[in-house]
Amino acid sequence: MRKMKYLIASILLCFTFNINANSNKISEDIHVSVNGLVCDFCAQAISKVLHKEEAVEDVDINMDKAMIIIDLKDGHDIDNKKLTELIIGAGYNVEKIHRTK
Amino acid sequence: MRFTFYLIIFFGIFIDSSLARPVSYPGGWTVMLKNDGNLNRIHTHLSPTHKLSLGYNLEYWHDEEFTLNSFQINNLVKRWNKKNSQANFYIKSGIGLAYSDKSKFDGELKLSGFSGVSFDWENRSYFLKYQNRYTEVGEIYNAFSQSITFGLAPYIGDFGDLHTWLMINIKHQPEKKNNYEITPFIRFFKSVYLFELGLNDKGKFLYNYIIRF
Repeated sequence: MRKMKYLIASILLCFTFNINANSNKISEDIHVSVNGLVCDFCAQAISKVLHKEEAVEDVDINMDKAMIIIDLKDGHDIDNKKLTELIIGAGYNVEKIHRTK
Repeated sequence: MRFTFYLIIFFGIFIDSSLARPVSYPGGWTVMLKNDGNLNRIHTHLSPTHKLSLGYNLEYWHDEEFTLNSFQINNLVKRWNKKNSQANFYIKSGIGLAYSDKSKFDGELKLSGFSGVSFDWENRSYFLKYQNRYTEVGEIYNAFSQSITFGLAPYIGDFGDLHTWLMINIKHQPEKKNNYEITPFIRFFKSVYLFELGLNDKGKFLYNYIIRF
């Protein structure tokens, strides 16, 4: 009986860790403020460059706020350095990066 | 003339097109069709980086009756990205061969080239552009032209909307008898497509089309 309790407790413990591990995989949104984002062609260029990245699920652009909103795939990430390089490589300047979960 | 030729070669190493954004995003293809009272043009290019595009340019000049086939290089020399505006300085050049239909030169192939600079500034409401170009086609034709374009957006669209601009282009060609040409036109663009339609003061239509892949 005691062995059974240990077994159940172990399974529950593993399950709990698994839930915690999965919670780290919740998809993340990145908000990037960009300079030079003044036309739809500019926005299309940035969108196409970012969509080439495996980690990127979707890209939305708010031109009023000069803001790129990047939706990442579950369990994927792009660090700020890489993101900045991609946007500069597309011809624009990054002003600020903000991440939300 | 030899000096001009070397000058074109020199600028060709660095060098842009006449419509908006002569350089695309890295890996982007662009196809531009331009038609006005003076010429019909197809220019297609690939941008390996956001500062450079390499492409093929085909032009037919109506009055001068020649066809120009060129390898074209566009170079973004400097971009100024601001919070609500952007400015760009480009050099654009091409070198190739021209085929004449004109009586005196009928059937002749000539080494040809062109080079010029352009500067544009825009925000979401206003657009301003200056550009020039020197074109040389052997003994058949050589001339300088320059133009200024002003645009006004009647409304401000967001990403993916249909964007509309009311524009006017003033072109100066010093060698021509009527050396000023004024063309009011309307520009629409949505997604990766841009279309322009206008009518100049000499009664000739302008219709341009761009697609980006």
